[in-house]
Amino acid sequence: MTPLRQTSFRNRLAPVLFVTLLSALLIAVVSAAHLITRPVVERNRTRYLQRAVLEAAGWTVPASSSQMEALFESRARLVPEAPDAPFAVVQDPGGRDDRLVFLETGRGLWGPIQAAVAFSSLDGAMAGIAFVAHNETPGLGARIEEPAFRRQFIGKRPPLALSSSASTGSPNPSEMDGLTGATITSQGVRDLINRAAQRVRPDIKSATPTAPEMLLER
Amino acid sequence: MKTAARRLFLENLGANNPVFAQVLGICSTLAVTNRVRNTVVMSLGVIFTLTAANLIVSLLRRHIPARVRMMSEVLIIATFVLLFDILLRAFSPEISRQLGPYVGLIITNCIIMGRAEAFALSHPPGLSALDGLSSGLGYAYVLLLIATIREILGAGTFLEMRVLGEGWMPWTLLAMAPGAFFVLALLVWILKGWVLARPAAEGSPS
Repeated sequence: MTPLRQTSFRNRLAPVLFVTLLSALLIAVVSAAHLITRPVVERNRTRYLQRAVLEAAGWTVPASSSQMEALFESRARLVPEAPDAPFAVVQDPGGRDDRLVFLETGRGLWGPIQAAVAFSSLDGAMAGIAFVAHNETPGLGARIEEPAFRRQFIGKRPPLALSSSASTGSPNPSEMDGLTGATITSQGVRDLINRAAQRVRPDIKSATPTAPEMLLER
Repeated sequence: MKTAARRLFLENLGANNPVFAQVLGICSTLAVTNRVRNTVVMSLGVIFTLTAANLIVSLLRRHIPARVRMMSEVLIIATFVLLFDILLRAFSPEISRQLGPYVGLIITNCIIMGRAEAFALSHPPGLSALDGLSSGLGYAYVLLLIATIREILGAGTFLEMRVLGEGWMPWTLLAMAPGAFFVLALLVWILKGWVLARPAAEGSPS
């Protein structure tokens, strides 16, 4: 073997080996950090879910996690999994109604938008929405989290369409305002609400007040 | 050596500032400066990543084959960004949610790649870490300045506390993306075009 070929062989192999070793080492570091923090991250995720369910149902949720968990324990009841069953039934803050809270995922600009959508068990009108997780752009699509955006859905009757009017706050119960600069995100939210609404039982939607106890039987 | 380190430190804050002199890392500058709190966390992430990545790249500088040096740099940078992201997600989930994808985007922040490539590859570890730290601080204070202006005028608050009276009509434009362009452009204009250009202007007839 000539010295020239030897060096060229080494020149070719060394970078490959170096990058492979470096990658393996760095992957090990990141994986270890991920595994160590996983229990904490999962707990945070559960808390966000519970918080969103309560917020969608109309509660002003305390900032403290332990108080929020206590509120969830006392007011929310998880429903056994079934195709069109809500995720939880939550007592409303006024105590007159039960809110059926569905978890629904929609398509955002950067990834899935997961939301808790609440409906009144009396007449099927929307009681609220809160977002569990999303990857939308801060300052644009991420503004769906703002109360000013979420408030508009109270009392709406899906299926919803995006309002084409320039003024905000359409009184039409089947219209919603989108967000300027976040059309795809707004459409994702509209679609996920409409899908969640399809899971509300038709007998509730037909606005004949149903006794809350009957719903809890399921 | 001491004076060289000092000069490097001060240059990265002033004349060679990554944001207003080199105009690097602008994407994140625009994205995270709508609230001071987000900016503080983002800056911490950049300072941490810059310092750590510069240190490691410098330590490995004699072993990294020239042909794969950029790949190796990106791998090292990405590792530190992921570590920061994981820590944030576990211990500060609220801010992690608000920053959304921007923490991950630190990986592509040109300042970090630039310092690894231009400085850490050819300087000893101590000096490289100092370079990373000072570049990070230079990035941080400019961003904090922009964020302070944007949050106070755009929302009437500072660190979410109301500083301007209830009667203040927020300049929503400043809270949106174009507002960041305006504030940054004004800053670059003032600092680069006026403050930094001054010594040169004194020598020439005007």
